[in-house]
Amino acid sequence: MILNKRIIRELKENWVRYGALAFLIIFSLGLVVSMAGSTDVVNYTIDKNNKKNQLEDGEFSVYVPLTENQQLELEKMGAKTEAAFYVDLPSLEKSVLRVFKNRNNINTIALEEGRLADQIGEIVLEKHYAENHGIRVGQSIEVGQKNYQVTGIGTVPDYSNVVQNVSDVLADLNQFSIGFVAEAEFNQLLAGDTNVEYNYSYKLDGNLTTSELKEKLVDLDFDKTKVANKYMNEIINTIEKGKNDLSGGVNDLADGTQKLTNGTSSLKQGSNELADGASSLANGTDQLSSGLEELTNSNATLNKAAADIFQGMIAQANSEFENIGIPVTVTGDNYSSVIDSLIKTIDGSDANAVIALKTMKAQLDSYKAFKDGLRAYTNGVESAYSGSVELSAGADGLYQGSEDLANGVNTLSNGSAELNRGMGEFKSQISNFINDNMDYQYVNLITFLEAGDNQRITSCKSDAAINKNSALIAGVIIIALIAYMISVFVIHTIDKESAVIGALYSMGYVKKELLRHFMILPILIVTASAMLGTVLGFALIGENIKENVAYYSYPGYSMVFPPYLLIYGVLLPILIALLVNYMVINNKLSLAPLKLLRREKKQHQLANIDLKEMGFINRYRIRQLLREIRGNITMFFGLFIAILLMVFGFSIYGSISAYVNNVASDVEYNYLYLLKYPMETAPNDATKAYTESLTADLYLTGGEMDVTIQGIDDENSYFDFPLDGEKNEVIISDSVANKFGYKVGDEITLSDNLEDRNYNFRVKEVVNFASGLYIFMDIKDMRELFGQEDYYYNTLMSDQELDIEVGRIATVITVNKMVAAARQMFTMMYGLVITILGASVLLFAIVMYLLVKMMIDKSTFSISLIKVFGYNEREIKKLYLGTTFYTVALSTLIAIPVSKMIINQIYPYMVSNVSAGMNATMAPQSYLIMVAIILSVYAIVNYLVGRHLKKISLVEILKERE
Amino acid sequence: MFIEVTDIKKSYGEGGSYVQVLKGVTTGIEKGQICAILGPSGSGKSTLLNTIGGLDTIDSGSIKISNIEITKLNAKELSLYRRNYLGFIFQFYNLVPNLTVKENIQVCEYLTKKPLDINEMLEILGLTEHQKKFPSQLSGGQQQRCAIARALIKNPELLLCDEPTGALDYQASREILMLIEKINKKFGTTMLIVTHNTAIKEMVHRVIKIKDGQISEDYANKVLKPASQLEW
Repeated sequence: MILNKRIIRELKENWVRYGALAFLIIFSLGLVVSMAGSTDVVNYTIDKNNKKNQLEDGEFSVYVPLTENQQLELEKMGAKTEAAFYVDLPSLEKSVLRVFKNRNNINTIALEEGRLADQIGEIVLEKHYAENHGIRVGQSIEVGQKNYQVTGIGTVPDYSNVVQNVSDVLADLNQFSIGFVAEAEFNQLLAGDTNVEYNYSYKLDGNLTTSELKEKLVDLDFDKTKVANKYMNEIINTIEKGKNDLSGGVNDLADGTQKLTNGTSSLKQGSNELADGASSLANGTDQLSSGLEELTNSNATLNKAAADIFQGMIAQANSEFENIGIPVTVTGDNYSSVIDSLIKTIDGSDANAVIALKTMKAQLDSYKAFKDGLRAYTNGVESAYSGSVELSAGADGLYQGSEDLANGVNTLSNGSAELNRGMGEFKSQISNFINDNMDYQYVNLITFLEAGDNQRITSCKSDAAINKNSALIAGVIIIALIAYMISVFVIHTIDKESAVIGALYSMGYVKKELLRHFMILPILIVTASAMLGTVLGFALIGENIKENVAYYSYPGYSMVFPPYLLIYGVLLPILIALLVNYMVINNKLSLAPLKLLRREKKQHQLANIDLKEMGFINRYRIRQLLREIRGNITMFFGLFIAILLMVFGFSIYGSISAYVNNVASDVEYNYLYLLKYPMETAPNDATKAYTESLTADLYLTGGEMDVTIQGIDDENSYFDFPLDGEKNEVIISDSVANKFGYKVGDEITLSDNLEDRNYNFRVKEVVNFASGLYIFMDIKDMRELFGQEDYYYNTLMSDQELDIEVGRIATVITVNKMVAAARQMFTMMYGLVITILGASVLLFAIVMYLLVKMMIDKSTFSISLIKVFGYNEREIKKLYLGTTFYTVALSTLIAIPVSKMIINQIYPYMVSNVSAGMNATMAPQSYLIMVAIILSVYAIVNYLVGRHLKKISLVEILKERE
Repeated sequence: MFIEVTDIKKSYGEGGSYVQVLKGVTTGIEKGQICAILGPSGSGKSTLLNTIGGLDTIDSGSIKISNIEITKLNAKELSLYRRNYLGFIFQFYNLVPNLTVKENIQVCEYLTKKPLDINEMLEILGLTEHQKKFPSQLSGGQQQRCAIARALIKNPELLLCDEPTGALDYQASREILMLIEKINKKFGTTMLIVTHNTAIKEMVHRVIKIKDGQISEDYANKVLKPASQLEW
């Protein structure tokens, strides 16, 4: 069709416009295809490598290495295992090198250079580590205070993301990596160091499921006497000690009760005898009392008789005195003094008298003594009698008491005999209990991790997948926008040549022919651009993949050209262009020929809006804006997408900045030690805590992610939130809240995949803690929850480095490492951020320039007319370019907040594979920078279009006919 | 009769803006005749031309061109009708701006299986030396000649001309009218010319005057004046 000759001429006449559109398509598709393509290349390379090097289906670690029989048993069941033991050793520049022995069947090493180590003193290094430290094959490296010769450089499929711990947020390729030595060398290392992780990789052959394997591993017994690890032995001894203590204690208790029984038996006998004795005593005292009573009854008679006798003697003495003519009278009271007086008086003159007096006195003394004595005796008898009465009463009481005592002791004896019998049963039951419950089947399994949950294996592909999906979606949106823009330009052409088209209809052209004709140019542009863009995209894969290759560890990539990407890159844009242009152009060409001839345009109701008493300049501008409403709306959406991309770029940057700052500010401690084998007594300058790792469902991807649950107490100076509350209440970090969508009051469930247990918690509070994914609870509650002892801890936090035996440590986390890892994100994402921002500015500028220029072109007649009227350039710019400002301002005002809302929603998905919660954050100055960029681009476009405006001559009005 | 128009009525608008442009027009034109349709602005002459050309519909009545009742044709059939039978010439030429003179003519050459010889057409219309020029490089008269050549290349049975000299100066207008006369004689093309220029009525076979949507005069010229002798 001869009409088609105008296509090339149309293209030449408007090469700037179509060139810019083509450039946009090529650039956009180039970016999208390179991003998606690099993902496919990564996936292909990883999958190929995984297959070639026999990637594991999972791995597990144990306290005691499996025996050969156990491994054979597992293999027979359907799980082939291979030892992947390792030791972490210090190496260059304070880095840590995880040293394995060479692998044979699973996760084999893919060498890029050199050969495997086969002698003592040789090592193969992971490629990034070697590169970063400038080590080449043939050079030497110190590892664990020993020099090794590097024989090769390579990678392994189970460490494509070379993180020290599976829960680490990012790898630090300078500070941690892996190396492989010969078996002989590794055995030497084993002998020298007890801090070995007994790790196994496994592959299933289809006869055994993962959960069956795990169950089997849990059931596997091990000989605890063969535990080489001294720290593990400590734990075993502690556990066994408890059991022994219990057993010994029960035995002692049994012995004690036996002795008690024997004792009470003797006591019983004794008390019976005592009772008998007391009975005899009671009888005796009764008899004594009776006897004494009889004696007492005779007391008066005896005393009277004695008194009479003494009185008789006194009387006799008086009589004798009277006889001898001594005129004295003695009485019982004075005889002694009288006689003494007489003796004194006589004194030597009458010895016989003296003798007689003395004899008398003596006789009287003796009778008095007898009388007094008898009195005393009778008094004594009386007292004795009283006493015996009391004694008898007391003896009765004693007898009663001893009877009671005997009864009581009897009861006691019987009771202790029963106690003894019961003790025997108790001992027997304790014995059974110990046998049943404390005969520890030590679970050998420490960790169990499927390949699909292992960040070391999966994060490379999942990271790339997110970029790919985002790029593909963005690509469709941008292509649709560009296709629509092209259709707008085609419409502009149709409008311009409306009468010509009407004339062609008049001549007999049918709509189909004209539709086909007008679609050729946009389809040609899109086809050519799409092809070029796709080619460019594939060519840029190498550039795009650099960051991925520099971060993840896998062999050199192999290019692939997936068919879907060719379809996406070439066919999809064509289809979109076909569809969009067909719809728009078909609609335009459906006007009646007469209307086309008359250049009748559809007047939107908006165009007739009553602007009341508005000033002329504004009224003119608004009418102009409404007249070009299609172009303005297209520009609005074009700018919206550009601003969306800009917001996205700034959000990535802001998000990473905020993360780095928060990691530094939220973490108060400088060192965190996770202990495999905690000491009984923690260092004084460290704070104890308890850490466990569980998993939570990640709604964003439908998978799971590890979270760290940390038990702390109120005295922990590194955290300042209160821990009082219910037992199952937890305090979650903002990182966790962000990642999993948890809020205060939510009931959450975390899983222990190793134990196949779920734990339910209630969220009490959300606190700032950016590093990793942490949940905090009271350490006492946590110990109880996990069945640990009251004093148990496995984590130490401190300000200074602690002196802890290396063998006890699982891992050491320092704030500096965390910040360094976080900063690594900048390095990884910097290129992407710049690309996105660059693309957004380009899109913004091109969309604005093309559409504004088109709108100016459409108004050539009126511009020429008002130039004829006498309007100067400044005034014309004000009238025609002022409307652009409205559109730009409106799109900026709406697009920035709306874009931010959109990015806020999709950003968590884009970082779903990162073990940290990151919000799409934009620093306030980013908004200012964005507005500055927008205004600058607007100013430049304004200037360029202004120059075009200047060129519109006054004679256009004479040539053009409306 | 080659063209038979029977009591056609045509109106536009509704309510307050309702206008009846044709109020029952009946006429007929023989094959090979040149017919001028004259009348003041708004009289309905262009409407009559457009309805005969199938570019506009009528409210009632009948239009037959070579015994084809065109009012009963659908859009596709009308396109075919125009392709096979009609040629159009407009006041403002409506040439494709980025095609050359020859290419503009070839645009309609494409529509027919039996076009006239393009070089002869260029010759007849005095465009041979201008054939590689673009419309913007031509004068008004040259552009109109190009438009005429475009319309004629497919050898239409009926040529509809809407103010063919309206945008031209006197000399160019005379030249166009002389061409129209020449083509009519050479190819026997039936022509309908809508014009304000009353001088044309002397060179045509039939004159139809329309006033207020109705034919006020409809007569045949017994003696035709050559276009070269027309004065206005």
